[in-house]
Amino acid sequence: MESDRISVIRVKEVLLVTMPADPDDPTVSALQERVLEAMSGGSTPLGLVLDLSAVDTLDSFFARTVAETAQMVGLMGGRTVIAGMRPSVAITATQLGLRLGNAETVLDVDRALDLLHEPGATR
Amino acid sequence: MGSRSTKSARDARVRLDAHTAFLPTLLDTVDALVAVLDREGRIVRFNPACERLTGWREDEVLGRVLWEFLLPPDEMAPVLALIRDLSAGRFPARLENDWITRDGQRRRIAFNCSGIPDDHGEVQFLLGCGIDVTERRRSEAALVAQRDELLEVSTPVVRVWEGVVLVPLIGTLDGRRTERLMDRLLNAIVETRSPIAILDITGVPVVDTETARYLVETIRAVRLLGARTVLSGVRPAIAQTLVHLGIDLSGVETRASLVDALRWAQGVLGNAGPSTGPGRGG
Amino acid sequence: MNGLAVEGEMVIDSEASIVAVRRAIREATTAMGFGITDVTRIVTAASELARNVFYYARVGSVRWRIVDRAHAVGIELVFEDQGPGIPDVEQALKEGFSTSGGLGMGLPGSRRLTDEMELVSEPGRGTTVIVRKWRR
Repeated sequence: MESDRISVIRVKEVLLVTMPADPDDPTVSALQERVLEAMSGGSTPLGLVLDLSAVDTLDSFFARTVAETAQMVGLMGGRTVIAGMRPSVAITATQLGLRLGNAETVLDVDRALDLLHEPGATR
Repeated sequence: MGSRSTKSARDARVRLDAHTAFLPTLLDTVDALVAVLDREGRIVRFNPACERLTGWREDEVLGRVLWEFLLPPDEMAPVLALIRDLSAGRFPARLENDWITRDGQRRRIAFNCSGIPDDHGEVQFLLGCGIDVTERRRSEAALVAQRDELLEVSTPVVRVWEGVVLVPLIGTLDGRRTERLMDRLLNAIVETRSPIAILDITGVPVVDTETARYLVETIRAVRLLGARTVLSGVRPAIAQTLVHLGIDLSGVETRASLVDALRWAQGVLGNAGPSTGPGRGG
Repeated sequence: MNGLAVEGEMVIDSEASIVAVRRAIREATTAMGFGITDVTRIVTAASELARNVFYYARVGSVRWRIVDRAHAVGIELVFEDQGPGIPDVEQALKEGFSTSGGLGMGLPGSRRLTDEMELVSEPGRGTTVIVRKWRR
């Protein structure tokens, strides 16, 4: 099943999700479900890192799901950081007017982890 | 002087109009395409210019429906709509579309069309006069491509030092230039792993609504990658324009001069260390 | 280029159709030699328009082919459905994207991503959206 392609890994108090190249709608929806599941197990993570470096299409459904997920994570006290968006995707998303809610953006997963682990870091 | 020569000129004109050879000679000589159709679209006249362009002789096409063989399928809708308009008395009308020649080539024609009514005022014939603009359109396209190339060459994306890329923008921004700029800038950011991009607009003469929109678009796209844009070269006049336009530049660093922008970037990179980009506040 | 079968059609009748359309259009536009950013633009516009067909009409189709002008070559996508139609086309073409980037039909966005858009819609009869992008 497509939704098995979403794996949510916990790395030192941070949830890491790597999105596949062209996820279908069920896979995108699964992102939200799996993140919410992971947020409720054990101690609340600092936040979510969403690795989009493999993604080659970001449409309005995907963007809306990401924005909603970021909002939910925020309500539970965490931050959402998007890493590694491709130039072609960034340009298209900008021209389409897509917004990603309160998600922050960084160049790569390394920086995302650093960002979330910064001492005393608040938005 | 006046009335005598005017009268003889009028007389000459009446004689010309009655001359049976006038119209055929005109149609033969003119370089423009002249085609006449009846209300069903069947060809009634197809002048030598049409013959030369299409490779069809008039006697081969008389009576054939024009759109059954001269038009490419994907251009039929606008042409049929035009013919409907002409038949309903809405003329003159202009249209640019392709014709297909006998050997399958496409030529782009700029048409000026009208209707010829019968004695009762009903449109009996449809007249189309066209000019082949294929070469002109191709030249225009080539010029645009050339201009784009030139703009690209004169808008380098420079890696100033580790972590900072700089784009000294010169001239005005339009949609296409912005697209290509975003492409190159964003790819440079990814390739050099630079968290900071300085967009210097010292060389941009005017910042109007459109330019401001393109700048904001570029800044947003850079943001999505996780880098920050510094807008430098914001002169007092430009600052005024941006405020008046209500452009929201919160989260964007702006500086009056490039030097100030470079100092700021240096400060941020120096304090924060190499692996943390100032990408907070998405 | 003329030898390539860059033509096709697909039924849109499920959620799975949307990603299938994206993949088919990605293949077609890449085969035509569009640059990566243009491919992304066209595929994303196709995704939005296919999504419209499924969400508003439940079933429809998309056809795509190369289009030729005397001075340019491009791709044309035609989305058709017999759905409820768009009551106010002008409004649909004007609405802006708000923060969630998904309210409404996203027609202005798709138009932004392509070079030409034609829209014919009649309430009760259905909708046809044609988009074209020229290869530079």
